Amino acid sequence: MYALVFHFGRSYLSKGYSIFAVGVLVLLSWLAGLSLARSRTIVDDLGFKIAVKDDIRRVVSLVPTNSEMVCLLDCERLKGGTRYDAFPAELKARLETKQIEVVGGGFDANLESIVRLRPDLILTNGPTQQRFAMPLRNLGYSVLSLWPRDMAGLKRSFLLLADLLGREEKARELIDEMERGFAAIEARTLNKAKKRVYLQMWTEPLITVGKQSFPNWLVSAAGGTNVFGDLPFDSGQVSLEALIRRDPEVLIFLAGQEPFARNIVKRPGWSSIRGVRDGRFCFIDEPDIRRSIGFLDGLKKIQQCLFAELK
Amino acid sequence: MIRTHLLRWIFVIAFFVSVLLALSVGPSFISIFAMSETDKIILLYLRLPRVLSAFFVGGGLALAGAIFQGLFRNPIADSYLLGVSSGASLGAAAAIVFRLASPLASFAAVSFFAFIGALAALALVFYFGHSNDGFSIFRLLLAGLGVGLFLSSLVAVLMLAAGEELKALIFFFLGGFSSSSWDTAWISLACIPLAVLAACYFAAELNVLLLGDETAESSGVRTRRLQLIYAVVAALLTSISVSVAGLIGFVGLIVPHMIRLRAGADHRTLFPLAFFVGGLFLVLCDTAARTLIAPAELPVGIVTSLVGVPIFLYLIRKENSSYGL
Repeated sequence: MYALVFHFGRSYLSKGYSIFAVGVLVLLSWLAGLSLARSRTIVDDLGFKIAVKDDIRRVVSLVPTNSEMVCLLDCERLKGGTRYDAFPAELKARLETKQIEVVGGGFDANLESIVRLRPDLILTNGPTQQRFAMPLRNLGYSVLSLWPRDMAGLKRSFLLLADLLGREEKARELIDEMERGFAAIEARTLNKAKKRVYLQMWTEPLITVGKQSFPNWLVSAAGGTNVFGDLPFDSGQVSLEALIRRDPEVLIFLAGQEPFARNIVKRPGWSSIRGVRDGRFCFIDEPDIRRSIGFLDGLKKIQQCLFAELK
Repeated sequence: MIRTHLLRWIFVIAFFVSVLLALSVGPSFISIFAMSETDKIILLYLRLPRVLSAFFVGGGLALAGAIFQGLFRNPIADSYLLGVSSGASLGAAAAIVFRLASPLASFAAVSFFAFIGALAALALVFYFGHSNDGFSIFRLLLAGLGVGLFLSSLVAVLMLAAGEELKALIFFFLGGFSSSSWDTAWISLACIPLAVLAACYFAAELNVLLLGDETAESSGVRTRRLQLIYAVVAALLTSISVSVAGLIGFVGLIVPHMIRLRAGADHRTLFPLAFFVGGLFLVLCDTAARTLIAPAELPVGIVTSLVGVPIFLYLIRKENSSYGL
């Protein structure tokens, strides 16, 4: 809108309609005054300074975990989400009844559909989505990037969002609940030796998670150590040889990898891994490792995986 | 004469119909006669830059292909097979990883480094593809494939070493037009028309060059200068296209040949037609890409191959021409 006014202003100036131009300037400064009064500036996880309206009614999220956080706070206000949104149940129901429109799927986003929803706030994740964030930001939309890597980051993101939506109380409740749950889970392994864990994201090639990832943090919170936790990436490819050398005690696979894992003992080389010999491997679902405020269920699952005695 | 006249009108009408269609359809239909405020924003700031980007990139790729085919007298030369696109990718990737430029901060700077990369790749292809008796078809292509593969592997190494910059690289290399806006479109609008004018201006001299270097020299064509001009023009077209839309294959190979089969190999008509038809082709392919499974999108490169290759195969089966090269 600002850009539109600006362009019209320019073309009229060149035609000499100075009175009109003055009018536009007055209008603009009035608008600027208005927007100053009604918005504020925050700095997001990528360091972008963004102006956000005080009264946010329409939110569009380009990432499932951001959709989830908005929905936990106030699902009414989420107008656009992704085709992978599944949590909480209310969100899924709203997607199915078309109360929330699908505008993307993480790696893709439909700019036109987003603009059509007239969002007051657009939520993206880290740098991969900046190709969509940039044009939206330049069109004058408030684009907020949330990029938490651990519980502290999650809390910060969630509280920021709650603050913007005016739902601090609700957020406090949920965070208190999360922290109590987390403390209870963490306490169960405090006196136990850390388990060496391998978390496999993909079978061929072998792809695992590195030190910058949220699952890496989950594994350590569950009482384990990621055997590839020193690798400087989010996720990446490793060799079977390296895996054998690092000799994990527990192997965690995603549910879709079951056919691969069933015959694992017969696969050449795998039987020399301790966790394989001991039959210490288990399966988790992809949502169990999502970087979301609702991570406790996943954490519990991983912990039970690591310590069979904790049932 | 009547036939070419008619053809010209058909092209003009096809152009306007395609652009109008491309602007109207999308996730939602916009009638230009009844637009809401949101419609206007979508049309002016999202669809218009996207359609223009697709037109100039498609035209640029087709023209670059036509230039390479003429310049090297080689019917299967194009930006991809000669490794020039890989050079452009490497230039951009190196600039991003070594923090000389960021696609978020300055798209033009990244495009500039892509241009440098494309020029460097072309210089390598010239060096390795050239022998005493000029550019033999196979020697040139082998040199191009070699250079292309080598530069692509350097891009892969850069991606592994990128760390935090990796995300910016992915941002840059995920091609297509789904994130088009004026921020990226203006570069193709500023550079590609210039390159088209230059290509058309020297087309007659390139025709003479096709008769052989010696014949060309004796009729007053400065062959070295001409080759240099066309190398720069084709590198510019390739690097801008790669910067704006990532890697889109086959347009540069297929479109010039379709035109040669229909309208002959005179570069004075081939170049403008290749630009025009390539542009229209990509506009239509991108329109299909963003409407067929809306609100999701198909990668535009899939559509170009899916639509373009069958047409191309049909044409080469039907005609028994030697492409005039």
